[in-house]
Amino acid sequence: MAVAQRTTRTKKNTLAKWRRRLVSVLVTIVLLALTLVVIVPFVWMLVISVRSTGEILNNPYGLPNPIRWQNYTKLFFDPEYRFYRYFFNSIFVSGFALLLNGVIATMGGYGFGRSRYDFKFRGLLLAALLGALMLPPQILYIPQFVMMSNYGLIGTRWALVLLYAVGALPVSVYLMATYFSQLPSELEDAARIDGCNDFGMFWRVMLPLARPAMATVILLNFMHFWNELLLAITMNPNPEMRTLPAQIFHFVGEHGVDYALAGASLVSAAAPVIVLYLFLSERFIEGLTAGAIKG
Amino acid sequence: MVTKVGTKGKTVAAPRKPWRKPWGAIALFIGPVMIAYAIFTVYPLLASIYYSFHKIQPIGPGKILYTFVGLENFKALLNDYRFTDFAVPNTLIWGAFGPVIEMITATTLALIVYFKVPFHRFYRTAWFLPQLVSGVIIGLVFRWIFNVDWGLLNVTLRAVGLDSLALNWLGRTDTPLWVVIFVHYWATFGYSFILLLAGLTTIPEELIEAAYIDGATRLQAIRRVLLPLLRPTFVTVLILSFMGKMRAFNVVWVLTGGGPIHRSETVATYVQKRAFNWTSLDLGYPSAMAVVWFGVVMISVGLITRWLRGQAEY
Amino acid sequence: MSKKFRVLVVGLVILTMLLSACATPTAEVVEKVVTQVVKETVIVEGTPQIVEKEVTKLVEVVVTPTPEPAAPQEGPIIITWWSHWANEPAKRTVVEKIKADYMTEHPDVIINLSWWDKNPLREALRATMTAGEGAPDIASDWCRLEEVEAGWCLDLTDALPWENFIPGTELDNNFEALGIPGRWKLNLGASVNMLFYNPDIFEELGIEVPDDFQFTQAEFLDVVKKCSEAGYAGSAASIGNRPYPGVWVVQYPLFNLVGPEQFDLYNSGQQSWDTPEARAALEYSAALRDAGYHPDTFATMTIDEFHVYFHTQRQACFLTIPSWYAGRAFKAVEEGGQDPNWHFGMLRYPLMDGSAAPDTIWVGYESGYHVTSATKYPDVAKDILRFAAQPKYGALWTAVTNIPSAIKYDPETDWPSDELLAELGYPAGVWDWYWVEFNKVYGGLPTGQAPSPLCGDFNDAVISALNEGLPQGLITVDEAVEMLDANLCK
Repeated sequence: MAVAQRTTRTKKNTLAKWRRRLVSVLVTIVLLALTLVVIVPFVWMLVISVRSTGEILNNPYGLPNPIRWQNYTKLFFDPEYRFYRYFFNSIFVSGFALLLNGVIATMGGYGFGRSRYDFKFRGLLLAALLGALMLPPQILYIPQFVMMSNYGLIGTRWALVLLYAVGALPVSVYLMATYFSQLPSELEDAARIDGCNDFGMFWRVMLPLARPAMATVILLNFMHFWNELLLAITMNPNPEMRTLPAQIFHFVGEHGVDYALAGASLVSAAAPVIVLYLFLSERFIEGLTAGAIKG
Repeated sequence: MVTKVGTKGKTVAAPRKPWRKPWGAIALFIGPVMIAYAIFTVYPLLASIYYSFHKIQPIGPGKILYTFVGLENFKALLNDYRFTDFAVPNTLIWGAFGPVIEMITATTLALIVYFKVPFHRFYRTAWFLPQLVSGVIIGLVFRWIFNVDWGLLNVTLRAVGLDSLALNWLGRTDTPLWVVIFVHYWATFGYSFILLLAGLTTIPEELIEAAYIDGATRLQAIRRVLLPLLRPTFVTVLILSFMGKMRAFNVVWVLTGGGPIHRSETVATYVQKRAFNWTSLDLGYPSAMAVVWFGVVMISVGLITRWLRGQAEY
Repeated sequence: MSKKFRVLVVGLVILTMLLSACATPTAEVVEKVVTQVVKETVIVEGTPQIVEKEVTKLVEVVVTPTPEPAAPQEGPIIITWWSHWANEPAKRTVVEKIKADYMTEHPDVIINLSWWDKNPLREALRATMTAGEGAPDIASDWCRLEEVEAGWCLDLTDALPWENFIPGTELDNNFEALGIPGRWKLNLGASVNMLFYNPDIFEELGIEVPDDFQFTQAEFLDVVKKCSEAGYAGSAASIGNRPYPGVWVVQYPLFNLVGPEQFDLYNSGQQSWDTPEARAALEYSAALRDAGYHPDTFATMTIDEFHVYFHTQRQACFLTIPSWYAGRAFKAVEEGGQDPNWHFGMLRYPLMDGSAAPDTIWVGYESGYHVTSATKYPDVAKDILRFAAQPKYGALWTAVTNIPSAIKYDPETDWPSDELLAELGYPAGVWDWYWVEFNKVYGGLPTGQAPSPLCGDFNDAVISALNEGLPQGLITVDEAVEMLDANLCK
């Protein structure tokens, strides 16, 4: 009887094993197909950006023959397009916005995160700050436009710098605050003994420790600032000052039938963030998940 | 709660918390954030509400005339067929279906990847790619993909013989909204997926081990252990996803611009059109629209939170 | 606790208002805007019709004067010029030449000319004029009624040599009929609404062109059906990024049916569309639509794409189009232009049953330029436009762009020399076949205009009903009539 039992069990086991393997293969096929759907648009975009428009009109899905890197040089340096200007604008806007946001958010995160600075309404203020996440941008950008025009900033890049930096404050402050709240309080006592005042504590002790969180905040914000469209097209009617998303939006309207060039413009705008991501994907994902899920 | 201690502070058990709140430092650190926030976020919010009760007429370069009109803008909203028949229903449909589909698929995928199927690291990286790219780019590429003559989708469908499915996706009345929902989903599901995956990884392994020891199959472990523990993350991600859909702009604007005769119009695109693209130059009416929508979003989020959190109490 | 909370919130709100108010420089305060609704009798241009209309007149705007801004500094005068036609190299060449010539004659003036597509230009203009910052001095016309009422355009009545223009030009963008005096726009180009056909497809399908170049209503419908059955679209127009191509399929038949004066009334929202003639035109457009007149990609093709659709992809039998076709199509193939050796044909409009104007051709104008009221140098800006209104530039315009000019010129004396044309990159002779065909088909025919301006709501109704709704079968003819009649300009 024991033998019979063993045989049925092994038979069941082998069956189960084969079924598991089959399921695993099926799942892998489905997932790979899914991934294909995700990746194919990128690949196609890349391919058409190195062909000529004539080729593309004849056969949208052929392979480049030959590979026309001159699409990119034309896009960037030809006097009619001079795409490098928009790269520069995007870098300018993103850079200053990151700086502004980084400074304010780090200080704010420190103030909101360390228990030393707790006061009665601190939680309330933080909640009010986070409440901004619920605001659809549409309700803000019309008055922001009027405000920027009163300041005389419409048509300059500073309007975007200010609005991007402040718009990202809720998330940045929250992430920094969460991070700071987890640092041990002995650090403060030690710094106090060394004779630091509050700002010294912040500057000498906490800030260096906060580098990982700051890196996360910078990465996340860079992604948003680089890709933002609504404010970019509203606040910046001046074509010289356009950031990449705004310029692409107009570019395809103006030169839409030049598919090769349009493709090249899309790839150039997408490349920086993607390249950065491929190098730092762990950091990116870490950062995203750090604060958001602890809510 | 402030315990007064002598200024010399030399007690045996030195208190961890300071005996005097360092208000100067607090102001220094929190001040800039709150001031910037007040000027650039709170004030525009209040201003929007103010505008929504006015008619705003430009009467010269840089000169604007505000005329109080009370509730007229809001009444006009109710009579505006583009708002009541297209923008609002489309956005609500999107807000109802989008997050549901996204949560179901993202959770499933997160679970699958959590159990470390082959290539799981690759999937984690690849599925996040669409999030990195600007909505402009996504909108444009997919406008080409959905082109009825040479777009990738229809060409593929025709190649496998499914000619009848090769529809005019962006030109009919019944399809543009779903195309928009799909493309936006493609662009954002990676975010939900990653958040859910991270939520799963914070669940202590021992709990699942315990379930296995108790004889549970993998499916039962998922149902009885993982999902309930995932609930807080799930709710957060659901709310984030919902809010995202209710105010999505970039992809829709570039992909269809509100679609053929408003068939894929959302509140976000309609506000943009009325504010900067309309015959009339008035800014009060679109402000009223934005205010109303803000109210709708807030109430919806409140309701969803209450409903879901309420159910969690067992 | 809640009281303190309330105090805190109120305090924050007050703080934010104070801070923001401090940042806002005091704007000019408008003290009084007085409007008055007045019943006026108005003679509608070109017709023996006298109509009583209620017109809201801006009686006065009293403004607290602000101190005079400091006089602009010594040094070169910099004029910013935003122009439409980024995608039309021929027109760019002409305008660049005008700019270069002006700068040569006036060394103290520097003109910064930038090229845009129409929609972004209009949006940017709106944003900058609302903001009062960053607006150009000269821009492609966007002086409709609303902009003129907003005080964004400068009156050009005294600035331009109106006798240099072909008759009727002064009626374009002219709101005198609505009670607002002034002229706001410089027109460089005039346009003739034409109907092209693809001779290769005609040959393939065995379609014969009538001797008088005009199909009847029924014949035209038949041809469209034949084209559609063979897999071609009837006509190549599409509405991806313009709000008017879908309306052509109604406008051409209506124009032919009722003649220019009546058409003007319909077109500008001064006449109810619930008439047998208007319905006939709408029904005919619906019949054409059902016969396959519009391309599959009607809703999404942009203006450049539908040009390509007709002349390179050769997917349509017909194309209804004004003269600015040449601006977009007569350029390098790589940039989206057509092969100069492909000679398409032209036809007169389909002859409607009971037509009041069987031979009349619909003419009008295209985009031009205006001076914005944000300019610091109104005299210089107006002078630039006056400079552009010379006969030699009218001739240059036609010679380079192959589009008729709104400026009168003498072909003997004003025509640009062959050397100049070669220097600009537009050697003579390339497109002569186009003019031969034009004169063959349209030469000597009577012309008519529809100059009356549209009011805002009617414009929107036309876009919804006739540009988007009816051509795609989203609404019925009755619903279209309803929408139009609900928004007539009163």
